[in-house]
Amino acid sequence: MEILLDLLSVNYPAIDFANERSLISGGILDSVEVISIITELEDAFDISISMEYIKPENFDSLEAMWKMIEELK
Amino acid sequence: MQYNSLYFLIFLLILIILYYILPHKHQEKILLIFNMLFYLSFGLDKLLFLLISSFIVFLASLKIYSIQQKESLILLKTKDNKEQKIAKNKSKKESRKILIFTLGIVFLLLVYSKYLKFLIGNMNVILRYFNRTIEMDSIYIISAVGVSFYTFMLIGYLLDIYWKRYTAEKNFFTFLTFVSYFPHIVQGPIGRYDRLGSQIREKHSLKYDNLIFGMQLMLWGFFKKMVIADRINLLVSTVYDGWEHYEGLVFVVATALYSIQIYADFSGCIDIVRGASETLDIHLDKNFAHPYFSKTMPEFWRRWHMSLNEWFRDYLYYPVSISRFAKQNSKKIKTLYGPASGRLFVSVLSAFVVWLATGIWHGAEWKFVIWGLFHAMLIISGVIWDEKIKAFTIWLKINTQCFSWRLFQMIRTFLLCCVGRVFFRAENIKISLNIFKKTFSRFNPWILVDGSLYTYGLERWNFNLMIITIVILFVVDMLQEKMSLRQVFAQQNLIFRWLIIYLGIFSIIIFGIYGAGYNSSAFIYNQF
Repeated sequence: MEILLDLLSVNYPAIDFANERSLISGGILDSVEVISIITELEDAFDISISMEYIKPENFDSLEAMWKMIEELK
Repeated sequence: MQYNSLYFLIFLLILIILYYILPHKHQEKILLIFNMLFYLSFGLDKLLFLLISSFIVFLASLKIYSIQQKESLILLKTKDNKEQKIAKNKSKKESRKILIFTLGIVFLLLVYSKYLKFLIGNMNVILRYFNRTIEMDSIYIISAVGVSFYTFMLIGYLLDIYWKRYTAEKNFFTFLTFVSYFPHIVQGPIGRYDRLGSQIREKHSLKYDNLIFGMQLMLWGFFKKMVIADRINLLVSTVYDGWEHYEGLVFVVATALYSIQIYADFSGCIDIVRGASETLDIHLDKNFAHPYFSKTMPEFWRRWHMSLNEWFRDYLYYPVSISRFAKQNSKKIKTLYGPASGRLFVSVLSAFVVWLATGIWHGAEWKFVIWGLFHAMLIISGVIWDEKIKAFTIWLKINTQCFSWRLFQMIRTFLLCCVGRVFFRAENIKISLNIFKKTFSRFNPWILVDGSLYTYGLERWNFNLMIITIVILFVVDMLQEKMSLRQVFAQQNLIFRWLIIYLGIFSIIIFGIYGAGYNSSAFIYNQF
């Protein structure tokens, strides 16, 4: 999960990915940023994120994103 | 049946009584019967059209769900990766076929009901060169009320099932109750089954808060529609319908007022329907969050007609952004020009597709296409120039953390929005271009002070009343930004609360704008 945190923190330094639990539901990430994150995750972890996985609960926190990556690997 | 008619109030009153008096087990049935009666008031053909669309999507969702269930069973039985992959692919292929076929039918029905006249009109332009035309009168078109709204609800539901977001509804009547739910079928908010389906199935008891809050919200909605929007409409219609006779600043005034009119009209309707739904203990999604306080255009669209924009985000923006076409081309651009350009390509492509679709959704006219493309241009410019503008403000040493900068941003967003409104309100593109031309043909700021403003459809008294009510709307919106006004209101003394409620009721009766037969004018978004 450290790799993911580093990746996101470099691209979005203003967002506290380590502690934030409502990145989507709290309106911290907008749709453009979600798509950017998806592209970065796909490239970094060699996964393909399909529409089934694009839902708020999968992007609301660092843990949720990591769980999704593990599932898709 | 209009939401702002006396018939609707009687209809709602009878429903509330039956809904809470009869045993809980009948609530869903009563709701369905009243939904059907409400929609039947627009015509039997329209109701049949709705039933057919709903039934097709219901059947497709069940079929897709059963394919997915079979796939899950196979995955449980076998641990072999190869077999699992085969099962997944087979399931996806089968369900995709059903999805595409059903979406095709639903789109055809939408095109038939909403866009056929537009298509024939455009085809006739070409056919005239060959001395042929298609007679419009020879085609029977069912212009189904709220077709854009309920079609989107149906598509959203089917895609959610396809993407395994929740399980399919097995009872057609429950599904139909959701789609045809009378508060949202005509003008939204575009309902999501995962949030509304469970509420429809629940048993509801009469709660004082729901009844009072619901009625208060309805009252505020009636005030916005009948006192504010319909009064502004008199001025806006005078200027826009007789545009040949005016020039200069009058168009700026009329367009700014139209922006307020459409907000009061549409959000007023949403307040009425959300309030009506709240009296039945069913809570619809918010559709507005004080959009004119937005500092940027993307923020404006997150606050205006939220259910439509969220729909486009979830069912069009994301799929386009992660499509094979977007990914492949983004990778190519990334290799050639760097990662930022790759990301930019995806943003531009998705924004263009979404805004073109938003424009077309609003109506079968070229002016809506232009309006959509205008907003696409604004959003795309924002994406391209965002970093450069930030750098420029730093270079100019502008304090961007103070009130005056935020106010500047709000006014800028409002003005940009007003430019788009000219296309939206004018009868066609040619007239809107003429209006732009006439706006700058003469500089006549004296119309603001020489009494001319009282000659555009509203005499002095009515014009001043319009200004007062707009100020009330602005203050209420501003307070709502900071607090839950209804909670604060509920904490006040009984006499004060009733005084305000009576003031509201009497101001609607006395200051409301009524047409023939004491019916208020139709809502602007009824046509969509």
